[in-house]
Amino acid sequence: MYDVIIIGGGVIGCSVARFLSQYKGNFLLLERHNDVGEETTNANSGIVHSGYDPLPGTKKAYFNVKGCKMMPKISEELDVPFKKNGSLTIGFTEFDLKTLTSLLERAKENNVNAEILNYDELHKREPNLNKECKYALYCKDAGIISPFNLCVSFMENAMDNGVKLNLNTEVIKIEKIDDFYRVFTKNNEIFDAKVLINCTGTSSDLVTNFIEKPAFKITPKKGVYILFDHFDQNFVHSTLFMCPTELGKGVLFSPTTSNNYFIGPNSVTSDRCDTSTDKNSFDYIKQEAKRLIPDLPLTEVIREFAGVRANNDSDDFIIEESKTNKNFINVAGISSPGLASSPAIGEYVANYVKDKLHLEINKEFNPYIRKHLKANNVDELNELIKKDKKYGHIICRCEQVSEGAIIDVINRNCGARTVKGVKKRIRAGFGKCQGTFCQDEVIKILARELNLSIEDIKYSDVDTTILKYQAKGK
Amino acid sequence: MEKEMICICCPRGCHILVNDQGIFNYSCPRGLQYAKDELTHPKRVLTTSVKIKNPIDIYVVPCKSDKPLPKEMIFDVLKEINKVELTRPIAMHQIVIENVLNTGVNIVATKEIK
Amino acid sequence: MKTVDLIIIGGGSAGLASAISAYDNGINDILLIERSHELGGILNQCIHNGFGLNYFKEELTGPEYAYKFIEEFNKRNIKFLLNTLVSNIKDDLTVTYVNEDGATEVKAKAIICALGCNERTYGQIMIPGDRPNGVFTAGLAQKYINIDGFLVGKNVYILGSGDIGLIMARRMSLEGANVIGVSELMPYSNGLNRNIVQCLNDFNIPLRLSNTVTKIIGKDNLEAIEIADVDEKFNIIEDTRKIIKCDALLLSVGLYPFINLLKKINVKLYRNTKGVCINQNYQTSIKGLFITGNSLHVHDLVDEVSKESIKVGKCASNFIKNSENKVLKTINTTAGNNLVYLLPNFIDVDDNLSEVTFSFRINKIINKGTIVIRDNDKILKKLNKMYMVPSEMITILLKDVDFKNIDSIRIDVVED
Repeated sequence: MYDVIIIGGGVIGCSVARFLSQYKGNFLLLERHNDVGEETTNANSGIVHSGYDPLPGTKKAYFNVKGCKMMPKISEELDVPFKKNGSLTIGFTEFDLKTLTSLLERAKENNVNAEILNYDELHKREPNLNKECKYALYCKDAGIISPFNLCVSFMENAMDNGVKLNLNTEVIKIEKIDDFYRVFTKNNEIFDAKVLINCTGTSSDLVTNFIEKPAFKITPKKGVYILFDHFDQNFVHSTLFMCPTELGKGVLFSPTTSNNYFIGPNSVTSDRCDTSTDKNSFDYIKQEAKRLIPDLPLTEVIREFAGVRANNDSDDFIIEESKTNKNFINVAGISSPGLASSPAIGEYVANYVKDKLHLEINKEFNPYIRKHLKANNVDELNELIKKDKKYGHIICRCEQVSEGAIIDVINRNCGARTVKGVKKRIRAGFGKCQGTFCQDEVIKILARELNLSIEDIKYSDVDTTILKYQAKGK
Repeated sequence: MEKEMICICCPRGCHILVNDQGIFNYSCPRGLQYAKDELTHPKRVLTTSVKIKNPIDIYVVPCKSDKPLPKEMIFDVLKEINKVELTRPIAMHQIVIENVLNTGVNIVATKEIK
Repeated sequence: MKTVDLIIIGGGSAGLASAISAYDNGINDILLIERSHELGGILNQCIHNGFGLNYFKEELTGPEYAYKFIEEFNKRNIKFLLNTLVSNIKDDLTVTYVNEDGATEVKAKAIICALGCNERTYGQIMIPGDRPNGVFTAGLAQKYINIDGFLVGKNVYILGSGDIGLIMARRMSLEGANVIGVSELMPYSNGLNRNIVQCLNDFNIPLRLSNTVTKIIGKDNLEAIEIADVDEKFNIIEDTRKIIKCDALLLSVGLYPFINLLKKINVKLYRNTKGVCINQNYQTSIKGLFITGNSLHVHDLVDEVSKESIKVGKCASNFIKNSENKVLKTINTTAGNNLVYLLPNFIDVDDNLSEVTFSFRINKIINKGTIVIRDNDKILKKLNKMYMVPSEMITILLKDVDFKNIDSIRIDVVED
């Protein structure tokens, strides 16, 4: 019998797991994919919003502002790439200036640092900006974070502190039995728990439906992105948003923590699992982004992708216990600014459960994960290679990722077990060649470290074999 | 009867013309021979690989037919090659199969593997 | 800091030839750095034949061609490192390389970049649709089949009729895969005619010209693709859309120079080749930094890479020996009508300069045309040429002109 089962290993589920691990108890996280963070977490903007935008008094406002404040410490504890690069919400017209001014008021109400920049201040800060951009709301506390690493490191830290993770475990049925819940999975396993936390993102209303008629409805919204290579880290510094108009929020142009850039997303209603891209979206994103950066670095495009957001029809986060089913907690409708809010949500939910189950403090809780070994200069690199020569064997030449670093992310709690898992954690295959030169070597390292044969190494989910057939007629 | 064929002997890819008067538009003796062969019994050099019994880093070793093989026998020869497993070290041009299927053609390794 | 006369980055066909050439031109203090565990570069996975007819006058497979150069290389006492990656180049010609022994900085008198090229990926050409397992560049699929001995699929479609795509169509067929077809966006093939004959026609594989992949379908694994015809402006012709079931899509949609290392320093880039600018001695805008092979511009034949690299080895040697003459003036060159690019980008004129070889590619098939080299209004050379195609690099020699009196050079190809 588990004290708590968390269903769903996205950034929210993993954050809840991590904060729960501060307490003593028997905790399990169930994830249907072959890795954590494979859905919404895997394809989002990676923005730590400052919190000027959500309406004051909403859960979004509360958790966003709090999460943003927590992020510097969290990113240090969990060794996640994070940068406070500030955000600029760009206005083009006098009318936009009015909108920005009201957003400034909202920022003040939400207790968020913000100011309006004039033309000169704005263009001094971002020389490549469209000269038509006239004003900007500047939030210096906004940042960017690696969403993959945040999610993985939440889970790694949770596991370091005793939480169990079951991958490839899809929940298909939930029964309430006396004072506990019985969870049935697709692979015929059964788990019991006193408390269930539903963190299943775009599927959260479906999972709630296993036990009761959900009081909310998820309307998944798909957003397409275009990703650029890291060609010049001074091209754009801050995250550029467009001043919202009645036509929508527009697209954004932002650097990432690895000095890549991306444009997007658009927003279209979609199926829950539809992460396909389309030409109309590409055209729309490019056209919109050109309003921010007229000279888009289109020769540096390396990939396009789409993510599906768990939009809740009432437009606020749902973080509450079921009224009819005690100890069934929904953490649902976590759309933007979900990533920024994730640490605050995790902390809040863990605290709520602690009070419910009267959990004791886990005295052995260590908030830090084992640091990823990095070298910032030749001397440090030499030190590192002296300790472990595999750090001198570079596998991914685009991103300069060593065999040592790849082995390290395999041999951790919540470690990489797939090619995509390695890519997400340490960026091997993330560069301009997209793994053309290193994918086979990554497969061989995975096989060796996991004691599997190379035919058994998957791209992502369990059925995604890369080396499908042996040559030579066998 | 008139037939145009593209010569495969070299990257130039000459457009050879064959008609009742003879063979035209080739640029070298190899091209002429190719055209003659192509009309009567087309031949191809086969390049493929052989399995290594004790691999390190490289799991198969490349090989080729040391002369062109009758085109219709290519897949039969492949079947023969697929039966073979070589043991390292493998020398450059080491014979993999001698006189494969009595064609007078040898299959030889095209890489040295230590 | 360690010093060395010449560092050659890359031990493929370009690196090997330039090392041999520099050595034979009197430079003995050479360090060649190769990232892989063996010399030979991409030739090692190109197990098909067709190499060397030009250079060695015999038909060789890729590994055989590499072997000949490696043997020559080994005869000379040239230092080299395997499993070693150059992680940084500075514009003072300091190179940082990393291997299991550590990270080392070396200062060179000259550097030759022989880094090869990258394949364009589906992300770069922005194919819409899903992002499943099962889409590979032809080169990666080639490595899997020829080095590792695995097929990435049994029902294969190929986008792009570049030579690697055609070669892989045959290779997959020989190993028992069903190659459904090849689509080519352009109205003509980008591969050699001989490869269309022996790789597609021999195996009854259809080639669809003016056709492209418009969608990738499959959540986790590739399940199908959508293809469609395009018009002259590459717009999709709606009623030609067609779904094709397949479990692997191989892309042979273009190569571009690998110059990541050079982007971090102040080397003048050349948008047309997606590479860098050079003078007639293959020197980049940084003195002492030379570049050759496919990291300069993508060649059709390895034989041409070898020939070019032998020249570059000699140029770098001359630079190291200080036997270069004083530059009197610099002439800029321009890629004119119908040219995709033109190399060199500038010509450093000295007292001894008597000839310059230009390389370029054109942007469409020209059955009968004239290559015109001019200095403003003055025509320096005219050459009639039959059957010019985008897939074949054209070289032209300019000599018997007084370079000192030339202000600029522009090359046009005029359709007759």
